[in-house]
Amino acid sequence: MSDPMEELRPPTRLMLTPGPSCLSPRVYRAMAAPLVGHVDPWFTEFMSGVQELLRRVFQTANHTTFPISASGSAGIETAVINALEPGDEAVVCVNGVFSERMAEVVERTGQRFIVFWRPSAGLSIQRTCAVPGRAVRSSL
Amino acid sequence: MRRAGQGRKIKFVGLAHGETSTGVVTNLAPFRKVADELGALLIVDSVATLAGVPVEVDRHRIDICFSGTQKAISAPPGMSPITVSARVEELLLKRKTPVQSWYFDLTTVMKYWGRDRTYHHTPPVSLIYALHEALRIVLEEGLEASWERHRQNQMALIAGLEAMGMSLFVQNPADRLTTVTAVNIPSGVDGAKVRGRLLNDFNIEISSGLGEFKTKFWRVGLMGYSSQRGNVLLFLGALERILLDLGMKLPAGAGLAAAANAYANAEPVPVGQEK
Repeated sequence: MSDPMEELRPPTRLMLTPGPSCLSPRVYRAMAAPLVGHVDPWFTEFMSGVQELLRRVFQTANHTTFPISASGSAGIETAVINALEPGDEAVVCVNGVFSERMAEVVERTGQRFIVFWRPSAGLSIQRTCAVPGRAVRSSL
Repeated sequence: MRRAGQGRKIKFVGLAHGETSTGVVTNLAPFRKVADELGALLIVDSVATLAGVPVEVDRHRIDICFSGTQKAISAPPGMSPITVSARVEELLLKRKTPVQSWYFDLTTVMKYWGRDRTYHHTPPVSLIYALHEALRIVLEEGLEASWERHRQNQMALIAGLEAMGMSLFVQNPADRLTTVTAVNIPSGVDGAKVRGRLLNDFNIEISSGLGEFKTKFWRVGLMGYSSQRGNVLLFLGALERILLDLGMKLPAGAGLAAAANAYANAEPVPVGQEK
């Protein structure tokens, strides 16, 4: 095991994975800009700018547009639990790991849901529902 | 879906626009239509698509759309941009029960990101700086130019791979997610060994398939700052070298020639003007 006190020297990689992608040097420079407090008036003003840029990239006029303080799976969590209340039902279209994650989040709310499996390129993905009786599975 | 939902109180229809695990893209319009018929909200996961493939939240009337910072936006991982329609805002105000999570409760988080700027939790300030710059870069290029660049680079990658005798997991081109290409591992080839060589000999990282697909296909991402012509050619050249070393029979140089040809035939990507 290497010494954890050793200097940080990550290798330089070309990331051609489904994320994270490589960063422009401009983004590295921006990230190293001096930290300010999160309720500093300078920062709260800056946040409005970030929200506006996000609206343009989403191509929306929605007021409620911002970055959740956790990665994509937190987006799944946020969307599902804010949309559902006890008694609601949901339909989740599952065709892989991440859409299945949405179904799992719904499952954990205890609400009823219907899952549609979409065969990927002719292969159907077999999954079982952990809460029998809570989900109706059909093939799309 | 229509039939199954009839007579039920369906609150939302949810799907992944781009399914990262398989490299599949799904057309949004039909889902908006069915959600309308069911009186349901439409929730779309655009983690793998935003900025790389048209998402167009207002045009599709998506009610909740969330993404990730570390894909085609090319900011560091750690945040999930989200946008929520006015209809959902009203529903949130009328909730009878509290949201199950405190941290992800939109009704209170919005007080920080909303007009009040009332403290909720401490956000990752440095990541927000990075996101700001990454979004500026996306918008300087222009969304349409970005979509076209992503499309061209995937086309060149596919041309190169097919010229090397390889096939794609997603057989129907219309189902292929531009930002993630699932490549079938040729029979007799050790997929993990190839990825190891790519990483150790060329500093190139690609992914395996997930779960049952781990030994079936590789996943090559071309997203954001990584989606560049030079990277496509570099990857094809490195892959060819490794496969030849492993004893696979393939026409040397064919992959690079096909990719270069695909670029030669592509329309030059216009300098994007943000509209």
